[in-house]
Amino acid sequence: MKSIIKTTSLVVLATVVTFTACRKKKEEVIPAVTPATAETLSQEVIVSFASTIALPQYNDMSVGAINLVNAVANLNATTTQANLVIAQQEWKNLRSTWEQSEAFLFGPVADENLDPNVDDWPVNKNDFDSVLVSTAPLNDSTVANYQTSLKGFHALEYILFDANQSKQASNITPREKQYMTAIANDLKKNCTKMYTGWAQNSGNYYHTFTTTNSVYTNKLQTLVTIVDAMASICGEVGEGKIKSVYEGQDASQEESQFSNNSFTDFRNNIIGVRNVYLGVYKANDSRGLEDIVRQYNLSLDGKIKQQMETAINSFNGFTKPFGQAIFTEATQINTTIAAINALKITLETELKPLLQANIK
Amino acid sequence: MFIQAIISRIVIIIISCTLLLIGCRKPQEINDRIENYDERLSGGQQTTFNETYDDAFPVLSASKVTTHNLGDAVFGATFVTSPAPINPGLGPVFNNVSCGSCHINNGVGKPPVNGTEQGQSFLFKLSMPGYDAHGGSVHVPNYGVQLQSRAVFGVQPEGKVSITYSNIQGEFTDGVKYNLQKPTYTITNPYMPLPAGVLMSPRLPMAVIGLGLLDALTDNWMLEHQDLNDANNDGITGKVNYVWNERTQTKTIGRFGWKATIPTIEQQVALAFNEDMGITSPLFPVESTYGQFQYDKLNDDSEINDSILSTVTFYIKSLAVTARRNVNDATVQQGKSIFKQLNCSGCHLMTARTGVNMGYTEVSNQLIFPFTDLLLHDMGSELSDNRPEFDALGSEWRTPPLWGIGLSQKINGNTHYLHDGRARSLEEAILWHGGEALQNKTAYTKLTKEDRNALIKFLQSL
Repeated sequence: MKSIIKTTSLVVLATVVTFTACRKKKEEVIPAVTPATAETLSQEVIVSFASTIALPQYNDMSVGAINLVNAVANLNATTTQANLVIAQQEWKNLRSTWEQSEAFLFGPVADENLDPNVDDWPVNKNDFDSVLVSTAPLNDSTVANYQTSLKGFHALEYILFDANQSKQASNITPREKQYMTAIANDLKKNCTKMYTGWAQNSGNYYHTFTTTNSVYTNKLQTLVTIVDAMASICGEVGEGKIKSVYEGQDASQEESQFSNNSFTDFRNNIIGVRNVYLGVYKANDSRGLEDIVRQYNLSLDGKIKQQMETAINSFNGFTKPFGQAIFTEATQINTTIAAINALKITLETELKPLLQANIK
Repeated sequence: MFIQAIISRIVIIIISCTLLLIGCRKPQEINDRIENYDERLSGGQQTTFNETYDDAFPVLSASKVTTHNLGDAVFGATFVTSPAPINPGLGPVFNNVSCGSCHINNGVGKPPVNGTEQGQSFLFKLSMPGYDAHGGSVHVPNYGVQLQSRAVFGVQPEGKVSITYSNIQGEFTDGVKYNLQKPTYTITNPYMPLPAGVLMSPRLPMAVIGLGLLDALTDNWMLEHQDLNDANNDGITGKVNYVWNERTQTKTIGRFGWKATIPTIEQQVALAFNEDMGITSPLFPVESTYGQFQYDKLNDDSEINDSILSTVTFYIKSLAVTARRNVNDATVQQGKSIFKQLNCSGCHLMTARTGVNMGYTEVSNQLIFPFTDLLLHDMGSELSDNRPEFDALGSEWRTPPLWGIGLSQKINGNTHYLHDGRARSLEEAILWHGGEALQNKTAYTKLTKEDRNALIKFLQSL
């Protein structure tokens, strides 16, 4: 019985999807949106952002950081190549969540200065080496007070991957073990703060964000904050992380250079933008900015979606890691920069004005 | 086609004539009738309608936008210990690793939260009593003129500071009580014995918006508002601080910093690189630790070159001011009249016009709403740091601009005001006013609750 219902609903769904698909092509007349509908819809999008994107994603940051801490602890206890690979993978997993969350760098992550504490760059290599050769106490409390360039993702990356991704478990020194343990713990502490900053039973930025108050004076401002953050990460990736390294032809300026993870980082930044636009995170699909845009301008919605896909897919064309591609795959690099920039311009010059014209 | 060409020529001629006329016209001062202008445009044409301190001037030539963006990247860049391929020069002692780590989102810093936790965006100036050859601060042996509370690995931070707060209670005329927290500072863990009599002054990093426009106000504009003997009998004096200019090697008018001790944006940027980050530049080529126990003795100065210094300087010079919000709201307008009625506007001058500047036309001849006179005023003993700097006495502070202040909570997630962030709300900031602003503060305490709220709402609209 259940399976029949399932099949039937699939058929119905498929039919609806087919119809919808056909309908879209015809550019049907969009029904006028009443101010009340716009108000309700805006609030739904804002709440959905907080509950479907920000909270679960920062929760994943805190959970992912615990996984990383555990993997590093295992590596510390049983220093095998297999355990090193597991720790490297947990680093990449947490990195993936973080890079997606960079599509919305506002709220506690910015206000409490957590961003530089987890993701400062470059690593202060002189001091890093001094830490390793010295006999100074190396534990959670000393590392917590280190410069931000001596902890966080990239300092840990330097230990786990080494300068040329050639790390051997057998070469990990006792001092490196102490250091990686303390950095992982510090990451966990700061990733947890990202979550508790939003959580309703703690910092409750959720409340600040989803209500009208002296910080977010109206729904338009809240939505604009979201769009500005999306555009901002596009600018940072396209203009900063990719273009400046490429134009300077300077691989030493690559951010995730020890792990060769930069292209994955960049791609995840744009996936983060797409998540916010669609109101999607993992299996959950809720209200997103798309639901507002579709009320007013279907072709803009199509354009944004197409530009997001183009930007994300542009990373598929590379055959080498970023640090090498800047020398050998100029055409593809330029294509990627252009795709991300096109998306940024649309967000700034079409999406934002659409909100400003229609939302109060 | 032909007619169009003629029309466009006529238009060009008319524009040229207008430009000529504007060029000849002297910058108009406060004859500007404020009601003829859009009050939202706090920074004149360089106002942004985005609620951010991060926007460049909206009117900026393409090449200048490029420079602005280059400066932006350096402002956010983390510096590391020399020698290094990227961003070398940090330390040996410092307060922070990047400009943006103190000026988070280009906004204000915050004092340590629980009194003992070390603030990462808060610092202490130090000096011995007296004046140096230029009238500036006297170096503290082995410390210099600032307490660097952090250091590169292997070097001792100069010291930490612990803050304790005591409560001061007050009461409005309507019987409502209020509490202020008064900070006391103690240097802990000094890396060397501190000589007796050291003077210290806490400083909260300031928001960096609109400084290019303040820079464009003329010296004469400041001098015209100076009122050393209170000739107009309003209880407010106003004094220019003459300070040492590293570029000209003479004393010139100071206009930046909590005590107006900095004459130019370039000097502010270079000084911050030097004292806050331990990075030498062509303007300050000597390490902050020179002559001290922990001097690095490296032959690598200047650690940043002129082009880095000038791009960051230009970045700061081209940050837009945020537009006002809710200017037509009845309560906000009521608050605005109270602001004038209480003569808050006696120091926080509401309007100003920048000088004509053909070298930097983007800031030329703009009507702006900075809410400052850039002058020093006696703010009373409670706010005094008892540490003179050039012509500024311990109790004298420069009127801080108020533009953008209503967005500080949104930009920085917290609200801290005054030079050491002791005021946790705009109301507390008002209630700390003393000295020649005591009359205004007293007048505020006599307001009804409704009027007090209106004034705050007005400030929040800035």
